[in-house]
Amino acid sequence: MKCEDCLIIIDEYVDGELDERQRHLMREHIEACRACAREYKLITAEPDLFARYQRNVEVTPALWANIEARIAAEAPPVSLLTTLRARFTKWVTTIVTAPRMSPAFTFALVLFAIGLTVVTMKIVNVRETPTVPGDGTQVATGSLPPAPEQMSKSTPPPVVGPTVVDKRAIDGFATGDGLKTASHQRPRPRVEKPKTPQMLIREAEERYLMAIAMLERDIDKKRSRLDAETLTRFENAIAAIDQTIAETRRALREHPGDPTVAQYMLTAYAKKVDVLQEVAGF
Amino acid sequence: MGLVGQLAAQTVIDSGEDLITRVRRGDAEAFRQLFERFARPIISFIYDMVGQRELAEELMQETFVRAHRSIKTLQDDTKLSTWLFGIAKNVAREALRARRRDERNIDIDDSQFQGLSDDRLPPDSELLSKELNRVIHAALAALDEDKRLVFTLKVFQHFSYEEIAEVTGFSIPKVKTDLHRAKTEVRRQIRQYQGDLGE
Repeated sequence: MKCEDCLIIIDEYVDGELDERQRHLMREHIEACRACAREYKLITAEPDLFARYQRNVEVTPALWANIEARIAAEAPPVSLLTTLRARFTKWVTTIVTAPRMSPAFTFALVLFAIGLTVVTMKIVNVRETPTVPGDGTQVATGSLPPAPEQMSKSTPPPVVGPTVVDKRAIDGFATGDGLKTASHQRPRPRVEKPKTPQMLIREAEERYLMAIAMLERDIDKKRSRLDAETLTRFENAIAAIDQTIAETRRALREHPGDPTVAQYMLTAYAKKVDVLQEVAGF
Repeated sequence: MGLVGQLAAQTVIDSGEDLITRVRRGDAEAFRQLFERFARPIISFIYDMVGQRELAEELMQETFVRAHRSIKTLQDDTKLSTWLFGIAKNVAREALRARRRDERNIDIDDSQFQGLSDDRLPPDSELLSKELNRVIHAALAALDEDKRLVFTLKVFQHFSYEEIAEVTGFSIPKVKTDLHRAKTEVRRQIRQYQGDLGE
């Protein structure tokens, strides 16, 4: 083999791309030729040389932030409902796949939430027969009860006045808070103002809030007995659920007639009750 | 099955999907993982092509934004690396064409090496590293675009000939020819440096 032939294929020889016959010829020539041996040595040292090449660039968090911003700016506007749906999906995925929850327990929670949601939506869709308010009859009115974060653990749950509640609505609640009848009137046929879906949703929310307040008081008593990991997971789960509740409440204020948003909100409340029940049971 | 049950079932199904499938589905977290995996090699490649840090940072961002736009075109059998580098190659070449139109010279910017340091090496090695960087940077800048492209993909990114052909659109014979010529030219510039090292 001549030197000019060797130098033509020396890179392929170094990269191991030659067949056995060519490799044998190259080996023999390099062992016999000092110039080609030197070239071979320099070429095999190149990877280390190039590995030491330093570029004056680095990947900083600002670069990703800019990319995210540009992608967001290009994204088509999404409806609030789509955003809530995506966040709800992410939240449920996080909660359901939490390592501490066994598949059986998760399935039970899912069934419970489904059942509660179905019942609640039935209640929302129930239409009262037209009635006229009777003496002393009061109905729940007014704005949404205070947000969960506004309720301190030491304050009692909100008492929303004497309330006339449809018995069918009460029967549907699995939390089993029981009936609250209007003041002290003896049951007698009375004419009631028909309840709007918004009223029924508010009532359902109030019941959840009462259950949550009771469970939180129970957990407060046991907090010192919980290990740090359980406490952290519990607080993270509650924080995620509270965020979802806040967002769905805001969405419900903006779209009071949207049953899907109401469903999301009540399901989030149900989930919070479930998580609190699980921890309270420790 | 209600909403919550559907979501729970969906979670189990999704857990086994690979990155490319999730990226193609528009999974934002998957795209973030894609960025974390490829950001450094992409910015290094673009820097080797354009030779300027600020421009490389800008073009790297453009690469990922374009990648996000064209995610839906990803095929199941597409290799993420060749797909991304293909986009980066186009972005870099457009920038180089624009620069040529503006009649700016592709000068070696020595100031880019002022900040370079290697805290782990003693002072004399540090000086050699800066000189080495300058020589390699100059050698790359002196190559024409096709050779520079093939050289950086082969030598720095360790792509195979087939992968380089996929990224560049060149035939494999052209890849091999350009690579051989690029190596010859680069070696001509760094040989003296290697000789200085006593090798």
